[in-house]
Amino acid sequence: MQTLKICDVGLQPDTSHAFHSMLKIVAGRSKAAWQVAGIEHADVLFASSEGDGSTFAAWGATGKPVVLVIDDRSSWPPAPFVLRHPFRVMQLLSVLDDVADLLAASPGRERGDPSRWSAAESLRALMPQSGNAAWHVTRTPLGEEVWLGHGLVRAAARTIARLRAGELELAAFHPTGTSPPADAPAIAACDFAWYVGLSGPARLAPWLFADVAYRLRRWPDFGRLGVNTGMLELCAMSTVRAWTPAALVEASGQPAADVHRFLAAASLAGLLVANGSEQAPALLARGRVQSGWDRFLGGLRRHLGLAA
Amino acid sequence: MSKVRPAKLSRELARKVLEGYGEVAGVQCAVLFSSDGFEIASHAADAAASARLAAIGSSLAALGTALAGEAGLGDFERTTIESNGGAVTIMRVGSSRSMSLAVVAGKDAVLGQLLWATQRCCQALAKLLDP
Amino acid sequence: MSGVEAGEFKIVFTGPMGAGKTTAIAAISEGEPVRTEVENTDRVAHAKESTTVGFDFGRITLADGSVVRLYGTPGQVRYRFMWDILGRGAAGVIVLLDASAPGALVQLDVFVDAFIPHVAHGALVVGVGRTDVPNAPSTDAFAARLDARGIVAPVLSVDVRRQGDVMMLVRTLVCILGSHTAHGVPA
Repeated sequence: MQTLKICDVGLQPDTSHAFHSMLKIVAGRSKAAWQVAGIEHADVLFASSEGDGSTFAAWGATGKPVVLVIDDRSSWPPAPFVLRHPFRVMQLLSVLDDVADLLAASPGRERGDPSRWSAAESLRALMPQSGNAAWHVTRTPLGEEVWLGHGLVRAAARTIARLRAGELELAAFHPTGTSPPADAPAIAACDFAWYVGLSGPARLAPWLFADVAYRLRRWPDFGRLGVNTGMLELCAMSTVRAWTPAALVEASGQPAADVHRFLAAASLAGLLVANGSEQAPALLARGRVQSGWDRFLGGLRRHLGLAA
Repeated sequence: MSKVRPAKLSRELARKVLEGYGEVAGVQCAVLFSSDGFEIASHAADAAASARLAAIGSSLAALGTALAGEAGLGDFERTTIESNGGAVTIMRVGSSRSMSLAVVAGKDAVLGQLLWATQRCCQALAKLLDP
Repeated sequence: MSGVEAGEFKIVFTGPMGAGKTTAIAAISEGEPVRTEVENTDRVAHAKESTTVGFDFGRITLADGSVVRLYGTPGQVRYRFMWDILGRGAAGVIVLLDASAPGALVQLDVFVDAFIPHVAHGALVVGVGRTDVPNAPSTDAFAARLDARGIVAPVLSVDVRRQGDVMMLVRTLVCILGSHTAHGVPA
């Protein structure tokens, strides 16, 4: 049997107590043998979604799985392993078995150069609290400051313009006691998160899983964000059903890098959900595919400059 | 408020004009309405029915205007919908495009009589409301 | 059901008075669209000078000669009968809203309720104008309103006076139609 080490961080005392006592109960029933370990030795993090951003950022860079514990007020996050407090023993067992399956299926998963994900990882940890008053700051390679807080990102207008164009690589955000200039241009934090995702590396983001199917719970506002037709296609496909990253690449015919960046952007902006973690949309295809439809749609797509 | 919404007094007078339809054989009801579908006055129609007639009538008048314009035939004057239970005629009131009259008649009405009475009625309404 | 068998492919623009349906169709139609605008006599309800009481009609001709028909509905609820006439057989519906208008979120419900029964393939797109007006609800607020009803449909901020924005709405609609045809759950 596989032995896996798990570390809990940031839990409320009662949640932590429940976790440790349940871990003893699941021993002998779970697919893997679970040991509590320090964060530096752990294979899996068991963390409150309200936890410390820098811990998530450091952990995210390792590419190891996280089980997120949310409270009853939080909406379901775009993550593959989530428990809502209070949880039952069987729910914990089920999640731990899923994690064990994942780790058994992909030992020593290749996660690439972690440094290029640092801004995205820290952003991912900070997004749930991005409406808070505390400011976090990072710098561009040229030393320009980018501030995150109050649900906004503030930076110089030219910095924002380059970020929109996918031209900026940022370091991880860190807390700061200071504030940005009051007149600094601002964009919504979730829009910023979208751009950071699109400008990330070509590989699948470390917090996404190759064997998990994802779908879009909500469309991004392309009127605000700007769009290309490839992204429209990926959004339309991902609202019809959930796809694993590879299946989405295959079915869309788009380059893997574009699909990976789309998934990173959608997840950072909080639009992506792992399949099964929420109700499927009610408004699904009800119409029968008719003869003549494909041909007609093809003509219309060419007219609109979409790939036929 | 725009000029094409007649004052209460004028609406009362218009209703009196429409009462003349009581003497035309087969007429069931009549509704005078603004081009954007508000009832101005009605005869023998309940409030809900006259509001609906006003809305649908204004659509037909607008479509009639669009169709006559498209065909290069000038301004819309009137249209008559005939069905197996009777007829509805929609006629423009006066020279502006601001008002029309819809008249619903049963099978027992004679179409020529209906159109003639409606034309007379529109002329009277135009004098009253659209001098 | 879509009316492709009948040689008809129809996209309906709907939404309340003053949301820009007539403008949107004029922005992308070939030639001058058919309009049925008349003087608006209810300036208390809306300050605009004219309002559509029949329908707007425009068209886009494709390379193979087939035609996409674009219909705009009247915006006021008393023209509801026209909504049903125009909605029948629509391949897709684009709901236009003015975020700065009072009750814009409620208007979304009104038009979604009226047109969802007509839309196969989940082909509904919402375009929201004037989201930059202070205190106007954001597109997120409109999207959340759809979420609450279990509807996943794009909500895009647009300026319908810009042809590019209107084309984005149509492209989005066509992408949805294509996805449901290719990947959707069969009926």
